[in-house]
Amino acid sequence: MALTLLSRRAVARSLQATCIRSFSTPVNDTFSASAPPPPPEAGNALQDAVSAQGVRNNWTRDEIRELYNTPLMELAFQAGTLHRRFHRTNAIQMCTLMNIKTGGCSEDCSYCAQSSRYDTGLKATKMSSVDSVLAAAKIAKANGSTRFCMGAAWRDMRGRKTSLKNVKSMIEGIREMDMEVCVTLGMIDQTQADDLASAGLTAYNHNLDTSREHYPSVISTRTYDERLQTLSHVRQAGINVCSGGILGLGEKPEDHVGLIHTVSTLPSHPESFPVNALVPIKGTPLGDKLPEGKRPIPFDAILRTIATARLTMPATIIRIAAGRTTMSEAEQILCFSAGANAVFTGEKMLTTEAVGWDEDKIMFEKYGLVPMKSFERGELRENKRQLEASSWAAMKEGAASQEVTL
Amino acid sequence: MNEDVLQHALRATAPRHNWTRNEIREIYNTPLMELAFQAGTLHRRFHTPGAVQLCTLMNIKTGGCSEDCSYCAQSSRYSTGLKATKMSSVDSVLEAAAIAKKNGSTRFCMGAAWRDMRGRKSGLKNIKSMIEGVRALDMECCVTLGMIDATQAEELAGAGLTAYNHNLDTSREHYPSVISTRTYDERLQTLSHVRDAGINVCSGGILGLGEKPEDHVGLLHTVSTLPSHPESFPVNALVPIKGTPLGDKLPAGKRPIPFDAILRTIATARIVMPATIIRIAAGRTTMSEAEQILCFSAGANAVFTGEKMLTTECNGWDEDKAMFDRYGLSPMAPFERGQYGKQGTYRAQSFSAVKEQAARESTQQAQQTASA
Repeated sequence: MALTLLSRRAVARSLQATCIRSFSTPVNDTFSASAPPPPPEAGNALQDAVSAQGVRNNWTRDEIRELYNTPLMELAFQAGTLHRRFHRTNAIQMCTLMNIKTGGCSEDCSYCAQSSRYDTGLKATKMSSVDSVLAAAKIAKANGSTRFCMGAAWRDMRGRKTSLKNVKSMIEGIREMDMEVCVTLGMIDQTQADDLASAGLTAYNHNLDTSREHYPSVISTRTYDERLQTLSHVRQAGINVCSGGILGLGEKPEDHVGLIHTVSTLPSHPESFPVNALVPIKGTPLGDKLPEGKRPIPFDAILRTIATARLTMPATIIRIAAGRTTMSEAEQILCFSAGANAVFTGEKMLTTEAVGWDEDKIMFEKYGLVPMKSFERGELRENKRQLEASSWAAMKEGAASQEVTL
Repeated sequence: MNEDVLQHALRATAPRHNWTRNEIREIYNTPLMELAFQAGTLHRRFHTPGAVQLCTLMNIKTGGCSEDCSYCAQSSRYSTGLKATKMSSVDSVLEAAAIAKKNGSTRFCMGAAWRDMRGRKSGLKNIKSMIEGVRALDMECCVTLGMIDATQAEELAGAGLTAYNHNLDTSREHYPSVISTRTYDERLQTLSHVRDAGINVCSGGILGLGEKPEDHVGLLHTVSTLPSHPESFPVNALVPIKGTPLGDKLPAGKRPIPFDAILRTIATARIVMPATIIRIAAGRTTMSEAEQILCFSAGANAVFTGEKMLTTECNGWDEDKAMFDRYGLSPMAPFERGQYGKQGTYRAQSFSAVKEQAARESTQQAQQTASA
């Protein structure tokens, strides 16, 4: 009897604590002293998105465009509000990237220094040894990263039996360290995906890069549908999909809408959606095309894309990826406030600079951000939040009462 | 417990005047991104989301001040290269106000570098003409003239003054290390005269005077426990000026106050004074666009815009218009105030819509006054 009463009080107290909502969430606030607030005059798409109790795969392009075009500070606030319902607030996933096979790629992706077609000064390398990779993973873990991602510059994995064997060893070694592990190796078929899954791979990255409409002007040697096919193999193998885009490839805002529409209407949302800001590299077509010193994509477009992604894919981890070194601390905090909840941190990205662990630690401490735990995922957190809002004392009492009655 | 104080504050349906220093310190020490989010949420319950008040400042009598405020170039004690001037003419002031109005400002603020208004009868007379002229433009009008007594306050009220600014600058504890020629209580006395005359109080602080975080808590505690909260709370970031004691003390090129302390102060102010307008004042030129947006997201809802601040640079109208357009901010209508339950409706108003509305309202007001 006492236990039930205590639990009810704890629940009531925690519900009270969770009933501080923004206006846009129509909540019947019966525990609170104040009257329920009236809903805002936002478009229906925004209201629907913010009141989501689960994920949707049936977004229309018009809906996403409506969200994307919401006045930006409002959009960011609503995205931040929704974010808290699906993710632990202020938790940021720290991932570290390693290029395990640099350059010499046969594709023509016009942003990438690793293409053998472009003269960027990048030195092509053989694949890194398993030992060197595991050593790097250990360092990453010691510095607080919970996810280690390996990239190899290949078009696909055809005929790369030895490499696949080595990659599997790397995967197994990293899983033993209790870290999440992700690889990006180009296109893969179903057998290869299944093989990677059995080695313990947690996620496979294969970016769509941009909208279907803009894609052909960026890459000609691999089609959009081929990329989607790889994602399908990954999903079938039960591996998490990591798929996102690069902003600043000369696309228009409508292409951000298009990219988000494609990923948010996949059979299941990607587990993570990385947002890269183009880092122009001299020698690549996009790098040479851009006027010197000009930011390829204005910051507000990045923020808009992140917020829209958060609203359309509530449970997906949104990662600020390449180009974060060009963002000020305040810009990053705006992104986190609008739903971004992962970063790459460490020594390097695939071909560009990464923000270092020490720098990120300082920013985290200043703003009260905490690293996400390994294997932490986004999901509707109603029940979880009730638990969290209880004080230690209440929980201990509850546990103690349970012991007594047992 | 930390969460209880914050959660309680976030349920506010009206301003509170009985804050304890401990409560404010707990709120101030909340993890910052969380604090900013909660402040932004509370903000929407008392203010129109995305609405930012545009104010323009004019220095109508520069320099030659007898006080020793150690941040200020206008003190006659400090050799800063500032040229002291006589008071501006009424015509030049009204001209400047008209330009400000045309550029979208709804509030015109005039500052004169004086210790107090004693014996300044003709100065006061001219200022009253300026106030009447600014009000005739249907703009809010604010002045900052140093200390004033009850009679002067009532005279200013009679001329139609909307607000009187008199910053407390910092906490009571830190204040003596910044100014010695005027006491904290004298400043509070002026605020009291302003309140009694029915004029809105505009009183805030300067961050970066060598204070500690506890002094931000102290300042907020003082203003939030006044008999009524200020109508507006300006937050200045010190702009160090060579020749002033604080300007000379600071290592060259070093920011006097880290941005996160500014954000923390704004968010805490928003939470403890829900209906008060929080203005980003001097030093905004040193803030990036993203930093400003973080401030607006955490409850700041006014800025100074135009050609100049009192002694430092100001963000120009064009620059601000571009930022407003990018982020969907809209200028606050004149005489718009914070209060519980007023918003809920995000409305992105263009400049022209706001001007039209102001014109309509002033016509209505004129009609009401005529028939009254």
